[in-house]
Amino acid sequence: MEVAVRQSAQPAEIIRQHVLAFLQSEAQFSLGSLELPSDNPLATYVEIMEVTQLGTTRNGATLVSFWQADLKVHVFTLSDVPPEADVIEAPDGDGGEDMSPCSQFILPRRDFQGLWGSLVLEPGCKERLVDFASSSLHFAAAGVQPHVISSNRMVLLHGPPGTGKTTLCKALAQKLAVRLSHVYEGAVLVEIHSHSLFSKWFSESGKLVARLFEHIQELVDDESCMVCLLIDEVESLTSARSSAASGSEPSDAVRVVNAILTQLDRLKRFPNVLTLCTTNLASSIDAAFVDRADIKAFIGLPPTAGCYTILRDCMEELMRVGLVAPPLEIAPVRRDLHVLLFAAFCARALAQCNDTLSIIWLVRYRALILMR
Amino acid sequence: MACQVPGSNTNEVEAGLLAAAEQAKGLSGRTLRKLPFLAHATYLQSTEPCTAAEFTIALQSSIADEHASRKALSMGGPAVEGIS
Repeated sequence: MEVAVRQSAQPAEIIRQHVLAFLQSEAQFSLGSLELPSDNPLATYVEIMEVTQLGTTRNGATLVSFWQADLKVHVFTLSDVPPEADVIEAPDGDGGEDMSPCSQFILPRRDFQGLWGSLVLEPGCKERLVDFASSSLHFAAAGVQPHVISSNRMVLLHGPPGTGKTTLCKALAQKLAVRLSHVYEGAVLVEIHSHSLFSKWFSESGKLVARLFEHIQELVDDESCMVCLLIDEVESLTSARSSAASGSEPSDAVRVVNAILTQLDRLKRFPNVLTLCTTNLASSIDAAFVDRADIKAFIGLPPTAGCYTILRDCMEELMRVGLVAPPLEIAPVRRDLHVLLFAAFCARALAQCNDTLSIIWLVRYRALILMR
Repeated sequence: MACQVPGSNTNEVEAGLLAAAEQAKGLSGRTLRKLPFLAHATYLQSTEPCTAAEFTIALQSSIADEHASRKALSMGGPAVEGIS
């Protein structure tokens, strides 16, 4: 259960109690947002109230009755602060341009709010990632000796382009900021633009990295703040090392990569840092880097069920805005959907046997059912 | 809750979407979310709302186009049938 409240509202704990009291009157819970009656005193504070996860959604439950519900209410305020590009000024006098090697997002933020829901991945994949990430942060917060149980708090997502890796990183950071709002007061997402770390000035790149991590260090020093580092297209950093070894790139690139790796290792000591990396080319990535990642998740192309969900999502949006009318209720993917459709098409095909199209579809659905 | 307006049978729409989903195998999520827009731009192009069934058909055509233009791109040849 996630509750977004408006700014300058009452303390989170009081709102939490109110929300829990309100939820007592609910008979059952399903995924999606809950409407507050306008006469409820909460309505002035609460912006969005949403059920985002039902226990173990992995087994496909869609309804939970109130006596089985173990309510976890997270209260948070959405931030509207625009992303901040962190400009590092060029070293004086040598005519270099200012670099912005990272941008900073304060979490949880409003424009990230719908991301998590819009991602269609394998069932249970998102939940697994949240559980992994939150327990590694818990391990660190509880003070587990890193020499005994090693956990780098680094997630590496790989897969073909366009499958939502970067979006998932952002959504994951947002989700963790919400879920762990009782542990960490604030949360920041720092997106590192790895391409801008390679300066055209010899030996300048290493200094850029140092300055970038100095800045990150300042953020990390605040123990009540969770810092998520997002390194997009991480192969652009790590493949540089191997190509430099073969002599095709200046040795400066090696220094950058090594500097980043050591800096990341140094950050590992701090319990409030989570590193998220994405890559398209898992094979070209540096072995030293892969070894540092705790979770290496493959995000693949959506299967048929995923495609259906995405297209259905699009249709619902078009119906909401009225570009497609009249609005219909489209069923989500169900195991028996194919059977129902098969029956419908049998009827249709029988009614108009000369319609070749229906017969083609008929054959297609038979194949689909046989596949299952 | 299904409306019984001709051409807006829920089953038909679901079947159309399922066929589209089946056809869209191998496309990424980013492409999929772009398709409804392409379908509207290429095949419907009107300010009047269309029915859901019409839309699924347009969607299927644009998926076929997408596959065709991807194939053309990988072969290095010209795009097929006026799809630029």
